[in-house]
This record gives sequence, C-alpha cells and structure tokens, in this order.
Amino acid sequence: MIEFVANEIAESKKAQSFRGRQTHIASWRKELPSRWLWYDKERSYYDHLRTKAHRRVGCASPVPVSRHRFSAHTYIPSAIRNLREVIESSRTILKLQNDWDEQGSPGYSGFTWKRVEKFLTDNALQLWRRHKTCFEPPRVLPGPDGSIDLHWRTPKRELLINVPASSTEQLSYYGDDIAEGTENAIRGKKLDTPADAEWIFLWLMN
Amino acid sequence: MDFSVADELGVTWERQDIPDIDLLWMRVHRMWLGADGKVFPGAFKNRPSDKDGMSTDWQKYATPEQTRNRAKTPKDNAVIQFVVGAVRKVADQTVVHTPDRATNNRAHTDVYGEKHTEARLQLSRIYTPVISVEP
Repeated sequence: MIEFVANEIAESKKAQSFRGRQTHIASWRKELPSRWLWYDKERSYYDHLRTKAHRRVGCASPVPVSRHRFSAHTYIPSAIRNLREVIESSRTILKLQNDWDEQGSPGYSGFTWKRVEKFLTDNALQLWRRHKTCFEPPRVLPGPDGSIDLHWRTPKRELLINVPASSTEQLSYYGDDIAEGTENAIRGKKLDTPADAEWIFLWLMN
Repeated sequence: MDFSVADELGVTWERQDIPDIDLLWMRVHRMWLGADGKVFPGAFKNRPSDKDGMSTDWQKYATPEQTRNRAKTPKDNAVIQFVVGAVRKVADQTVVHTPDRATNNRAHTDVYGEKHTEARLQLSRIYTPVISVEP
C-alpha cells in the first residue's frame, strides 16, 4: 500500500513537471518575438538583449541593432551594384581571339581582365568607405595590344584609364574638363593602389 | 601622266607635304565601333608595332571607298576622316605622307607618335564618320 501511494505521488510529480515544462516552453514560444518584430525599429528584441548585456558587463555593441534589419544587399549602394554588373558583362571581352579585328590585334587575357576587376572594385569600396560615394560605372573597352580601356564621360569631364596587358607596366590615364580642353588636364601613370587612385575618382565626380 | 600609267612604268612616288586643310581617311573595323557607331579610343593605334605609325590615306590620292576596299572584308569596315591640321594639334602626333609601292597605295599616310591615352582620347573626339557599316 505504501509502495502504491509512493508510486502515485511519483507519477503525479512527473506529470506536473512535464506539464510545467510544456507550459514553460509554450510561454517561451509565445514570448519569442517574430522575425519581423526583432527587426522593428521601435521595439527591438536584440536591442533589449543588448541593453541587458550592456548593464551586465558594461560594454555596448558598436553597431545599432536597427541597422541589421537591412540585408547586406540593401547596404551596397546602387552605383556599386551597377559597377558589378558592368564588370561582369565586360567578361565578353575575353571571347575576342587573336586577329579579332582582321588587323592582327591580340586577344585579351584573363589576367588583364582580373586586374580591371580588382582596380574598379577596390577603388569603389575604398571610395564608399571613406566618402560614402561611388563613381559611375565606366565603359570597359578593348584597348590596343591586349590592354583594356576604362572610359568615363560625365557632363563635365572625360577620363580614359588604360590597363596594360603586361603586369610590369603601370596603368596610365588622361582626363580633362570638356569646357577647358587640355588646359588643366590630368595625365600620367601610377594608379595601381586605391590610395594612389582615390583622387582621380574624386576629380571625375567633382 | 595618269596614275595607272605611272604605276605600270614603275615611277617612284615622292613624299609630299600635306597641307593642314586636307583630309585623311581611316578604315575602322566594326569590332572597334560601339552600339552608337562611335569609334573606341583603342582603335587609334600604331601598326604593326608601336614604332610604326597609324595608317591613313590622303584625300589627294584616294577616295573613302578605295580606303575601305583595301580591308580584308570591306563590308565590315567603316571609314572616318580627320582634318590634317587637327591631327597635328594632338599631343606628340605628326602626319607624314608615306606612299607604299608594295601595296600600290600612293595615298598612304602615317600618323606617327606614341598613341598614349591622351592622344587616343583626343583622336576619338576629332574624327568625322564618312562611311558607316551596315548593322
């Protein structure tokens, strides 16, 4: 008899505990905010957690939570997205074989195209990081002797940058103000790093 | 003397000075043309090597059609024109009459000088289309 009562009590406790757990899970599920609620600017779940963590350990996340509701794609400015599209479509230049113009011009190497891609991407990102701006995509054109030309024409200015086929040669450029002609034109080489080239894009957008 | 008779007699063609007001014809393959029909700056280059010149024909001895017909596939080539004086104003460029007996082209004229980005961009601004390619 005593054994029976003990078993009954044990069973009842087990059931209570199970129900309690179920209720707890149910309420936790109820409390768990929906995905959209997390990203709500007014009342963010992560903001709440951030504040709690801040109180507890005395540190704060440097990134405001409200920013996370935008996807990475939204954060890429449209000019950079356009640039990526232009770079991708310029791959067609690699299809040009030797003597593609019936005048003996050589084809274009993947190495030269990669150099173009890196030059444009690095500079676009650098400009975005430092100035929150981006240049318009250039026309990516076949250049002489396996080199690739990047050509910009804005209402005010025109710029031509040549990416040579040889890795030992530096990029060269020429740009001028359409109204001024060759007066105050910019010309030269050494644009190979974003630090070297930043000024030329600021000039172009001016 | 008629030019064709002179050709048969093997008369040498002397270099002549080209006045600034004269025109030069230049053939451009369709692959160097954009969708808008404009010539890419890359089309302006020295051939066959950098030390040579950019080939054109002097208006005095050739017509635009003759210039086009010297191409491997004439129908794939457009013809543009330059005013000689304007070409001479482009950085580092000189215009020299270089008649070519081997190809029987008395009009042949070279535009010498490095075709750097500045020269190519300026040349792309001063030409006028004469014969376009059919789409």
